[in-house]
Amino acid sequence: MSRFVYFLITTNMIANIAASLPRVLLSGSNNGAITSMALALIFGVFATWSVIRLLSSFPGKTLPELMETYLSKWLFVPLLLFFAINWYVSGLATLITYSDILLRYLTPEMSIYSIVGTFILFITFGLVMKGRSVLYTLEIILVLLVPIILYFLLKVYLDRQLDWDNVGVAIMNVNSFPNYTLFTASSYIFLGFFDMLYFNKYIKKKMKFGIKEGLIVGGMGFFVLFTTYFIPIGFIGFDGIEDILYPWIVTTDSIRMKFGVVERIIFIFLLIFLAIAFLNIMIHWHVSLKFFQGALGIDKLEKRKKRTIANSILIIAFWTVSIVVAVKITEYGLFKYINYFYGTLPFLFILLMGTLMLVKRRANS
Amino acid sequence: MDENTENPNTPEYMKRLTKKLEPSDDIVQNTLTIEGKKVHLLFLKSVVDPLQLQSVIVKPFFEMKEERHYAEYINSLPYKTKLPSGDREVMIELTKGNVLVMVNNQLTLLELKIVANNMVQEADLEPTMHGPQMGMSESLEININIIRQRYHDPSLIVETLELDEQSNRGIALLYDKDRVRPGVLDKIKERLQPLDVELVQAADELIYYLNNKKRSLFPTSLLSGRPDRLINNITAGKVIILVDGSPHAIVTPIVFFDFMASMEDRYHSYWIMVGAMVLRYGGLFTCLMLPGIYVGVTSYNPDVFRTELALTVAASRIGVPYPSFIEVFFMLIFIELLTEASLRLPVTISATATTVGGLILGTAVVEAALASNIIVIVVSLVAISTFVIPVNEMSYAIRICRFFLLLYATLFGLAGLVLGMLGLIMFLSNKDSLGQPYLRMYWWNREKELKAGKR
Repeated sequence: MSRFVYFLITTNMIANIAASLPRVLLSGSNNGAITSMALALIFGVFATWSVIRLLSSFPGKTLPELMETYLSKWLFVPLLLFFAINWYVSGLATLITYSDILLRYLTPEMSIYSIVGTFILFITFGLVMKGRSVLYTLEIILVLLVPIILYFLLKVYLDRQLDWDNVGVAIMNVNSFPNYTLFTASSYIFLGFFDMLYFNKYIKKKMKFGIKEGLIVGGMGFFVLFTTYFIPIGFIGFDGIEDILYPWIVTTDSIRMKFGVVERIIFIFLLIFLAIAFLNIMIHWHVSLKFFQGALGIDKLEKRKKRTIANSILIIAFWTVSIVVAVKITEYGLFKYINYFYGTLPFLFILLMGTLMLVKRRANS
Repeated sequence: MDENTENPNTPEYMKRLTKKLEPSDDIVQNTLTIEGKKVHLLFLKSVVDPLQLQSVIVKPFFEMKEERHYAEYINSLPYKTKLPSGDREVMIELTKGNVLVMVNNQLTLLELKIVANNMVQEADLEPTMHGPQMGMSESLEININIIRQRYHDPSLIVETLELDEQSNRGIALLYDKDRVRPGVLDKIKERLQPLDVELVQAADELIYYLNNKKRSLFPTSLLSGRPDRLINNITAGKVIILVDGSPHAIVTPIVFFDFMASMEDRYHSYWIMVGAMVLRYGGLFTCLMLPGIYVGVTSYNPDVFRTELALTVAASRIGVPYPSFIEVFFMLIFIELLTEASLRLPVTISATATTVGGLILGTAVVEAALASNIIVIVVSLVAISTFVIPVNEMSYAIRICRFFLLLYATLFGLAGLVLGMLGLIMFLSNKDSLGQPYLRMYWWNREKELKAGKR
């Protein structure tokens, strides 16, 4: 499998460590979190496997192209719009969660407009960038950041305050039934393959998803889920953790670098994960924009000028929606709506699988 | 030459050309005759080497017995160049220092030019301690010779073109035909052909037109005066463009990392090279981000640094009457002025400028509490790290980017700085140099993996 697929999957996983996933998971810590995560691990690897397998029979094709070729118009437009909106919302969720985190922990005096505005310029650039360049950017930033992330994780795992007894207590709660919201939230981290539905266009190497790839994706997923759930418990304790708003940030704020110029590791954590979250938003919205373009037939427009205008309208719409939502939403509402959004994931997956299978059947006949 | 133009024996063709070139003083139209043999010469004496003319053309004429023999002799000379068809083209050849010889109704162009500034100069654009010390000359032929003499392989192709502008400047494309990337050559020619400019004087100027964009910040072609760097790049499949009269050559297409490489890296042992690389990239990040970090930390998040350090920074800012970004901005402008001034001044005076500006003013500014001690350190560090970047043009571009990042950090704090940095990376990876991606990791063979997709 091309390494870009791993990059896409990894970014999506890492971006979720800092966002709302830990809170969702920990809020259900005595309500079947462990079993849900185990189920999600299996489901996530299966989902990645099935989509990559289906997609690998169409090298160099994007989902909008495939749907347009093989599906009738009244089927393909609403489906593609659904995918596009869903993926837009997933980027929006990260954006708003992260704006909230920045507002709370890094720049409390700033207005929400200027925080969202921080992102505006560069995400817009990311949207109009060449798809190939998005992949290059992704690679370079990951190469720059992964050493720091590894250092950070090492620091977390080796910290003396990490109490494994608390983790033991959490594991004792294994005997409860999985919970639907927790399951969908933790499956969500595997959804990096969704970006492949567009970036497949640029990957030349034929994708294959065998046991090795499954183990890698599964292993990464296991590690991310384990870290997201058990490390805060190890630091903060099992009781009462479900009430903390951003457990991961509270956790990292309890670690310090004794000899560093920067003493509190939380700042490194915030800035690194800001970069990763930004990448994730940019990639999701890039894909979403392409889906919108496919669904609304913008890329078919003859004149360049018309295309530019249509694209600008789309991008402005992206921005208006995100600013309005960011200003209106409350912290409680954010949490609630993100749970709803996670809830749509199985439908998204079933629809996607159905579409891909239909496309494959029509392509074969 | 009056009597010669009156000479009834002079062929029509020569007369016509002479007429067109007149009233230039240095035009010579001459007919040599002895014992029934006859040869007509036409040249510009200011660009022709008289000694060579004497020994190659004049002397053998008087020694040979028959005109037929002499014609054969002229025809077999190694100086012979192709005779173009139109009058104008022939005249351009004459202005380059060619001699038009007509013997026995046979026209030949002989290249006997003399170029005054063909001295090989020291490579002062990118000096190194090890490796070759001499650079290129200002003559196209000598430069081609320099490169050919260091790259003995028949696959090295030299294509000479003539720019379609006022000075009809010769340029040469050099590449290894087995290694050059497909498509690049066509693209270069495609951009050079319709070149609609008044005058191109140097390689540095041609880069601007190759770039195909009216306004750009980052260089998309490398300018180098070091033969070893040129050879290195030919081996890597790149195209070298030499311009007559310029001691620098254009290397294209180019990627970002080429600007961060110094030729000296090759002449050191591995770990020294790695150390130098780490230092260089450290310098790059320092000079880009340090002003932004200072603003972000002092104005937005003083709690990022450990307490002692935060207190030191705050203490040194006591008495400074304005916010940190104005302080940084002023000091950066000041250091840029200093750099710019010492560039323009002669070496002897520039030392004074640096001393007055750097030492005396720096101390005075701090004592007058117009800037903090720390900012003086930050700004000097930034200025020094800028010079670590080996290629000049990149260092200029980085200097400008720094202000952009400073602005973003001023507006949005540390988060803005990080996002600005990401934006810079995005901008660079979206850029391309003649169709080749500008910034990318190139540790795996990418050609196999990613399609060179269009937008």
